Amino acid sequence: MADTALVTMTISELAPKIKAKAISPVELTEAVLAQVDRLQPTLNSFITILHEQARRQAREQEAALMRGEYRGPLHGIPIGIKDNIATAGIRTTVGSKVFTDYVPEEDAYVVSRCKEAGAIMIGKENLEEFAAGSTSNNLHYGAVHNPWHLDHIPGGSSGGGGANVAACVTFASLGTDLGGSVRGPANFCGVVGLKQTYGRVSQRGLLVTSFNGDHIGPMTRSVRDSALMLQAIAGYDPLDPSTVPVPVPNFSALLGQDLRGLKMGIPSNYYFDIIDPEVETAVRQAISALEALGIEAREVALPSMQYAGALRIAGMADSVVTHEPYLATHRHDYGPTVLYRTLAGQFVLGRDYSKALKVQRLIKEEYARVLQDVDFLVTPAAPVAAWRIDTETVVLGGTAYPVRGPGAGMTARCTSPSNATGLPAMSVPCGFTQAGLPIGLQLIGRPFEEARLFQVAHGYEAVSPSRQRRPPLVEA
Amino acid sequence: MLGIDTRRITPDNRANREQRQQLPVLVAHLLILWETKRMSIPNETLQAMIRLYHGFALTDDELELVRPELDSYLKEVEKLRELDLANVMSGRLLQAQEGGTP
Repeated sequence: MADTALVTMTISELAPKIKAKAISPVELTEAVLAQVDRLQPTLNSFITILHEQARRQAREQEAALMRGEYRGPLHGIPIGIKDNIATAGIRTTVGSKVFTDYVPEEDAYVVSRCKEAGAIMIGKENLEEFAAGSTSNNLHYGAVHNPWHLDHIPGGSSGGGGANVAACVTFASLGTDLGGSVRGPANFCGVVGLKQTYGRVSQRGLLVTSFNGDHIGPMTRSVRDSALMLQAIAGYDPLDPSTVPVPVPNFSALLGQDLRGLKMGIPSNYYFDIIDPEVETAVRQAISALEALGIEAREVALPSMQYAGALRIAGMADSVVTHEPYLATHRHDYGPTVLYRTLAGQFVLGRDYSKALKVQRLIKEEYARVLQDVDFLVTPAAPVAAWRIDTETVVLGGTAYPVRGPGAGMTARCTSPSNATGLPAMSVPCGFTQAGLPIGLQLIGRPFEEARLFQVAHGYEAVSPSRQRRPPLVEA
Repeated sequence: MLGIDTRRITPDNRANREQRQQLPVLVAHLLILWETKRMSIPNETLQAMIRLYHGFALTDDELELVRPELDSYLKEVEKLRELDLANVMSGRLLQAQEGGTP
């Protein structure tokens, strides 16, 4: 029987109690494992559950605590790791049949950092096959279910993590985000999802990824916890050339500070062009709430976004190159959705790839210009709330958009631009549809200004209609 | 050598119908594509690309399964046709400001 009072706490609530030895890492881990065992049959959010390893780590962390070796806010905190992030000695499937028996010899950089910070790994979380999609309906390991409505998707590709954090199965989960795969599940599951600045966190140990724009980021139940997680994983990694050697600030430093005097940009094009009316209403209400907190709103134009679809061209070519060795030897182990979507990339011409990179640059420069006039941008995190698992298309404004497989770009249209620009972006819950499905607000900041995003998101979180809401199954 | 005509396609040097018949099937189909702004590439062209560039083999039935993604690619390329990108520098990394904020 899970201890609901324990599992529903946040990291920032637990940390001082663990430090004061009022809550034991062993007790906490047992409560979480009980929640895992109760909800795994319902959510299917894990591919591998690490009962014994988690108990062993919990005992080690408790012993360290007793020796006076407190390691910080993640000490003794159970977390989940997406199953495309390498874990030494633990199979890492990437949600695929190709890697079904793959056991890495080394931890990913972020996993090492979390372990050093005292976190306890509860399991490897389910995802879309090869992290290539936004449904987490995995052909090989089964569909992940949304804790708010079990017949709906949790978003993807880090769907297991989004579902776990929302259902109080983990206190935080590390996901990966190449087009919105952290912010999407966070949005659909009603939790906080962060894709920090490209180069802020090492990607070493992230498997079968793209050359351009992938990020490892946290999903948490509060903005403050998101800052704590980023604090643990951020920093220059000399073995990952994508990381940037900039100082790592205190990401919690601005939490609680007055928001008056800040300026937010509301895009007049692209982000609100294709959107469900219920989502738009919730996001506009969130913008009004931010104004009420003292932030000045300015309309901003992003004309280059008319070419945003070209960014996908580079992704297509990158994808087929990334998969080349596995397609050569294990093609029969691919699901058809990923296989044929990937193989289309072999027809991309070099000229068009180059054009796509130049469009990426144009868009990047345009965001940089806009962010000289405002401190951050506010957009929807997705055009729609979570759809049913068996849905193939979603109709918006009379047009049917595919939501799975080839041509399913609509689902990530609000999140993927920030992968191209590399700008920090986060999804924060901002209400629910009438059907009770979460809606998310996206905040996009200047490079390496995650602390500013946390300040704004934290201020909004306190007035959000989503505050204190949990899926009913958490306490069932 | 494949004997592919690599001259820039302009009104002045565009291959006429007879010349086109002598070019490899791949180039001929690409010319047709460019000239008529067709939004789909024939299977023979795709099969020739796979063969000539050592791609992953696909049956004609499988080509239909990649076609939605391919058509979406062509649609996006078409949008770029009038966009002058010649002087845009490519770039991937953000310029980090030393010291960062806060």
